[in-house]
Amino acid sequence: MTEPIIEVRNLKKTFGTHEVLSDINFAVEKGQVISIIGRSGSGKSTLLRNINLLETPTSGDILFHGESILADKFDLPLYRAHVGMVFQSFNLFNNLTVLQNVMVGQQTVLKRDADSAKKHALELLAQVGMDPYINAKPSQLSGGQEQRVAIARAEAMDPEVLLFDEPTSALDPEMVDDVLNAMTALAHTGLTMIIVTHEMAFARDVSDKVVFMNQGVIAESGTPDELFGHPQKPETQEFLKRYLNRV
Amino acid sequence: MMKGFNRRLLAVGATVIAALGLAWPAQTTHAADNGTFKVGMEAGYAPFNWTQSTSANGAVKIQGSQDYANGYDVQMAKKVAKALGKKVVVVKTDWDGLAPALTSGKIDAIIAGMSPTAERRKTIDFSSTYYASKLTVVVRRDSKWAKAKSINDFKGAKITAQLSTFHYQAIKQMKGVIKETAMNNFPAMRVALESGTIDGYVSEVPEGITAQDANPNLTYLKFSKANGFKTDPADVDLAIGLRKGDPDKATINETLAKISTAERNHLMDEAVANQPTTDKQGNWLLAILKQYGPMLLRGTGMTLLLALVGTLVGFIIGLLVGVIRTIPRQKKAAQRGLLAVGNWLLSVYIEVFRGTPMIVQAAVLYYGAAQVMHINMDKTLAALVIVSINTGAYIAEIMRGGIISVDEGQFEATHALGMTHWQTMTKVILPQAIRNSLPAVTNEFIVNIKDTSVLSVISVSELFFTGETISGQSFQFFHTYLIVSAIYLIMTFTISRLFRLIEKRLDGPKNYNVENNQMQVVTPTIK
Repeated sequence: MTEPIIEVRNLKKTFGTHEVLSDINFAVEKGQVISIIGRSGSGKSTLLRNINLLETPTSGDILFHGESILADKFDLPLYRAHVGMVFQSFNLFNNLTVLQNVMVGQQTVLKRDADSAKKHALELLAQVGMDPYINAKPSQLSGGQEQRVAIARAEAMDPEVLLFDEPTSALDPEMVDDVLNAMTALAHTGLTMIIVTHEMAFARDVSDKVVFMNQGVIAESGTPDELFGHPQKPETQEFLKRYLNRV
Repeated sequence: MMKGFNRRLLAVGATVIAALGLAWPAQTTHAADNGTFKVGMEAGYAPFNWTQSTSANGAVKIQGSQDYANGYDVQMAKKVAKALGKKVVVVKTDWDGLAPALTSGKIDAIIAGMSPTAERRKTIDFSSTYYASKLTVVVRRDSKWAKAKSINDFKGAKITAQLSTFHYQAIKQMKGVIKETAMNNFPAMRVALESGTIDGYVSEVPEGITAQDANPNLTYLKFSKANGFKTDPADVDLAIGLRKGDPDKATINETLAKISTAERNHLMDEAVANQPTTDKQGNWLLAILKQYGPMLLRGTGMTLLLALVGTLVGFIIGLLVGVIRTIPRQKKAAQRGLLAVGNWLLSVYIEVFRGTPMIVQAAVLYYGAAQVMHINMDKTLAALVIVSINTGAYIAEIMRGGIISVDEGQFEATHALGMTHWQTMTKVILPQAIRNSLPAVTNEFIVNIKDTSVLSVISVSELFFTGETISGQSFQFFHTYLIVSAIYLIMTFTISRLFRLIEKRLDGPKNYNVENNQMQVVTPTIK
């Protein structure tokens, strides 16, 4: 077994007196695609947001290549450059064009020069089929188009890990496939991915490992076959029954 | 003179500044003694003092200006300066700024048609009288009152005077007259007199001479001492305002004593003859523009300069403060502490400068710094500094609002890319925040154009002060202020249109081109 890229240890997160995550433990290895499923409010997104410190853990630890990301001397910006994130609401920079959105991180954080940043951006935009729209502003795009640009923006940083926070939840049904196709293509490149999703078929087909969260804890995890084929816990069975009917 | 009473009502900031003058006990702060005798006056109170554009008739250049000052006060100042072996420098200062300018050492003397009232004596000292005015009655030349020899010869006459002046009180002394409602200004009274609404108005001799000069149908009356008005010297005598304990006071009094009443009257007649008159024939607009056009232009220029620099620098201050106040919580305790202190200082800055009137800030910085810390600042520089700092305090809050209004997701996306706070702000947040705040910043600019008028208190000749000067010496109040309003409106309207254009520009084109050959695309720069 290889050394995990990201390891979550005894993670706990409370908002006021409300405990959203209690004692989460799990590890992500290089090249793994992990899907996190569960009901709304079960703590999936909070877990993801803790991993790149958009939320600060209440207790426990998160290790990146064996180093605590919570340590004072830890280089947070560099870590975040290595761990990309795709948001449910896309969050493209409204003041920049599509091309600038994909270039800005490369230039400011990775200090790439404009020409190589642009070359890289155009390649990635072409992969997600957004290259004709490089001069458009985010407000001029549809949700599916925006999300594909957002994926290219995250990829442009050449991350070791990409986090997806319900990337298709805000999309119209006919646009979901475009985004899922782009993500499937990415998974096949061997990129390490953690995906919070409600798309069960996608989770089953693409993931190496599926994690089911319920009420702030990891209720069950395993390969897609194990979890979808032979769920052990009654709450997993109940949840899947409701969702798989729709797959 | 009449001045002190009427004007004080108008000036809201006056009390505050008077208090300022009292708060700092007049230490003997001398204006830089380099052979100059700095005299403060409004240069807009003819025939005592006025502003003209040439050096004709022995006018003296106004400090830091293209214009010249002349009048009875200026001629008197030259005589006094000669006796002191110094050269006269005229510092054009708003009426309410005269006392603070003197106590803070910006000027050496006030020669501005000022009467030595008890109230003023608390703050400053006065020389002996340099002009003793007398009350008179202005009447129509062809009326039966024109032959009156005594103030008691006006039985049945309708008499008025200027509102809130001792002139109006003096009507009581005239037996048998019908006391009409007081009027606001002299031009109004002259019109009323000519049209027969009133039969006469009480005024002072210099104004009477001026009225007679300006309108041949009018004349003013001379009464012998016994038949004239009884007046308090504190009302009609004019004296030179000096700092308490000024060692030159004796020399100045000696000099004044040597100038006879005949010579004084001669000087006054000359001043009245030389005072600028506006051509009453033809188009009043052209007449004012022809005579005062360059002065109005300079005033407009100063107003624009103050508003432009103030808004621009204030904008930069506001941006920086906005950036600092949104720095996220730091990990290290020392940095957290530093940030907390910084934020606290910025709050103090914003609260103080938003919470006090700009007129007071200007007086404190310009006169206060000179009096207490002996810092002699250039008045234009002081004005620019005050407008900038003041605007900065407002724009800082506008920017905070603009930054808060940017979607939280924009911040999260920059953080997820690994951008620092500075990169987040400059590349993503501020461009959006600035766009969102632009209407409010436009407001600030417009407010600055208008509100910089209070800076006349530190002798900055912006548009409103220029308007005051012109109306004060042309007596065409309505016309002058109409022109001044029009100039203000043109400026503010132009600016609001200009900013709409900038907004449109920032929003970018509504359409975009679909690119088919990406490798030919120009590499965009990310501002």
